[in-house]
Amino acid sequence: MDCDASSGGVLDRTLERVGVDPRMYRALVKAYLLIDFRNQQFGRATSTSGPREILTPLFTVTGQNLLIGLFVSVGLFARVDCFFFALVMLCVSMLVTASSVIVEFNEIVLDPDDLTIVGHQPVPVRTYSAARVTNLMAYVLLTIAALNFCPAIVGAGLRDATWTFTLWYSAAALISNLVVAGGIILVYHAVLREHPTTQTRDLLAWVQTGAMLLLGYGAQLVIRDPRQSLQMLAYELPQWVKSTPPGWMAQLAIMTGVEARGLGILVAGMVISGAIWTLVVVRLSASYAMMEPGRSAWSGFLPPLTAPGELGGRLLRWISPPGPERTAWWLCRTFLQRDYNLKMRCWTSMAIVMAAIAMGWMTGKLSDPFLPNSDPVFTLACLYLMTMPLPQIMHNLNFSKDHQASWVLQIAPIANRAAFVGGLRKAVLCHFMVPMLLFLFVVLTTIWRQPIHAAGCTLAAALVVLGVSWAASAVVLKSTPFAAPLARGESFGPIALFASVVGTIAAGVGLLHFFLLKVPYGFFMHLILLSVAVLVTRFFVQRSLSSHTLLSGQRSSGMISGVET
Amino acid sequence: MTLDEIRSLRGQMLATACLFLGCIPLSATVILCRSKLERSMSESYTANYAMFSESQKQLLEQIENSNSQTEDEHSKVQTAILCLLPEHKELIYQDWTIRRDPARPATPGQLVAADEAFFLRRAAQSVVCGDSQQRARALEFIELCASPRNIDCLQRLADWARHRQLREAYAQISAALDRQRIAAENTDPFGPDRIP
Repeated sequence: MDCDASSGGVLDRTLERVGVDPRMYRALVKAYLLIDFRNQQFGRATSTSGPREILTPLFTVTGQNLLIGLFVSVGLFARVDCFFFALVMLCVSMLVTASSVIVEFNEIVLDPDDLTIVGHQPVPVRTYSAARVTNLMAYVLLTIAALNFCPAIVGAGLRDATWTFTLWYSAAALISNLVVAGGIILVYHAVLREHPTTQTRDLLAWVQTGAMLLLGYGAQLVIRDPRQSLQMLAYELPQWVKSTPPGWMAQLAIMTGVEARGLGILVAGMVISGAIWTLVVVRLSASYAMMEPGRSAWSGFLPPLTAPGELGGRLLRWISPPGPERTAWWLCRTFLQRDYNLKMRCWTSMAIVMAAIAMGWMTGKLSDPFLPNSDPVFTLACLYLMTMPLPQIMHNLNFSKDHQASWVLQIAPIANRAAFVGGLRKAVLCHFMVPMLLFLFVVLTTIWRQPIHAAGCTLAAALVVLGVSWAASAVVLKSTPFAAPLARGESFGPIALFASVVGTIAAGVGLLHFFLLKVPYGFFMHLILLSVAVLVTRFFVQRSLSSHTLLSGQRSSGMISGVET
Repeated sequence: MTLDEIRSLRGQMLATACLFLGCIPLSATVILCRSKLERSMSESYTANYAMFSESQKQLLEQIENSNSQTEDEHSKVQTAILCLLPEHKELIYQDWTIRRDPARPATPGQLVAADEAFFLRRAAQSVVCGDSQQRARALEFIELCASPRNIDCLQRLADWARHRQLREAYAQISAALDRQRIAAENTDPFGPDRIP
């Protein structure tokens, strides 16, 4: 590390004056920045990047934040006035900043690993604190800049804005986001006196990813919304909104000249922000001084296992017979409860279905296919889109963060592969597809006010889902489940062909449904055809699965070498 | 620049800076496309008179002719409008907006008399969210409805257009507002022309 202590600049002299060693400070700040780029919770939680990747997690997160800012700006631009634009953008940036600070709390605020790395070095507490807080500020400022960079430029192009918007909006964004970030740190650190749990942080990392999906689909909704809710909300904005903190900041952002009210908000914001961050620095410095090995480390919370000799509750006894099938069901459910990455990867696959149903509902395109003169295309697309996530969810069962323990499953005396895979299939259906089908039924019933029509359509979707689940269990679940670590590109690459086949078949079934609706008793013919297809698929899949012993001669990429030898 | 140099701290900071720089032309493009974006905004109407049921067509006819009906029939029509679901009211509004032949000058008045809150707000929505032609038609609806609240509604819309600096919209709304003010003065028994 290049640490030039003899430069003797203004910064060095200032640091020395407050009791901070400039040389150590520079070295630590540089090391922390490097760690920031390579070792982010977001990257680990979502498996999007590793230390050797060219695009590091922090780079990805920054790009994502820039995109959030740009997409929301474009969604609002030319539709709303300057105040509403500033208000929404400030709220979005504050939300994302808050979630980022919680997600990255361990890396940027308190890292127990520091003790093993820096603890044996003669680093004064004040120097360490200064470096840590600098690193924290750098991260927070980068997040704020990325979120508000595009809105600050785009907002200046609004008809009722002037070039000063960029200036005042930047000031408002900086103050409001600093207050939010400082407040979050104080709440977690000073009030709760503990770290956010691993689950909270993993979940929030996915919330950020979900926010991207939501913004993508949400933008579609804004464009297609027949009620023009966004523009009308801006037109009829209640006056009390201007009396809220984001409202004050938005008023500061739209200030066109030097106005007493705006300057008052600016000064008050700076004072509050300064006070909060002074408190943050004082509290964190005290914590750094008190850090002891292991004191700040925490262990993940795992849900309790069932008693020995008993697997699952009453529901499981009713659905699944004992033996390999129930074992597989229990294993799958337990992994889905424990492994947040696995669970969120699976739910992310369902996002497209939920988005399609929500979009159809909000745009009024989910019309009843049984009614004459209705346009059922979007409804049928929603019904048969239900099959699309299944291959990916099944494929996700091959991966786990606990893959190194898969040798237990490899040596387990499970002979009936068909039953074992059937248990996994049933667990996936009950965990993901049944709630989604129920959701679809409720939505269709609410819109159509015809429960029988909704039940018929849901039944057709359920039959196709059942058939695809059988096919996917034979094609996708070929190796030991939960035995591989997720590598880049593996979450979809190997099943891309199968997924496209499923998509083509689903489209074909949708077309068949569409044409059979025009024939008398066509829907019943459609249900009979689907039932026959499911039974045929089941027969061939069971035959195929029974012809192989469980997992014989198949090793996944995650098989640990120690066990093999 | 080698891969190792990109992976270094300096390389990563440079790459991040490039991300920010790349957003400048993207943001500038959004601003330059403002006129196109504004022109592309319009309301989409789904009402199709040919697809209406006989009862719906009959109701539309009754609404237009309700002035010539007896008071009992007139109140029945008003009640029928009031009892309609919002989506059906929406279809009636859209049908009036799309179908100009035959001209139905009495319909806006009857609709607003039956459900002022819904139809006046719906017309205001067309002014706020519609294109130039849709805005003109919505202003015509507000003018024809002859509601006591239409001047307030137009004034609010004019304030909105002035605040957002939408010159064309402001001119259209101001013209409608002036016409309504003149009409109100002429019909007001205490107006300047009527006081001896």
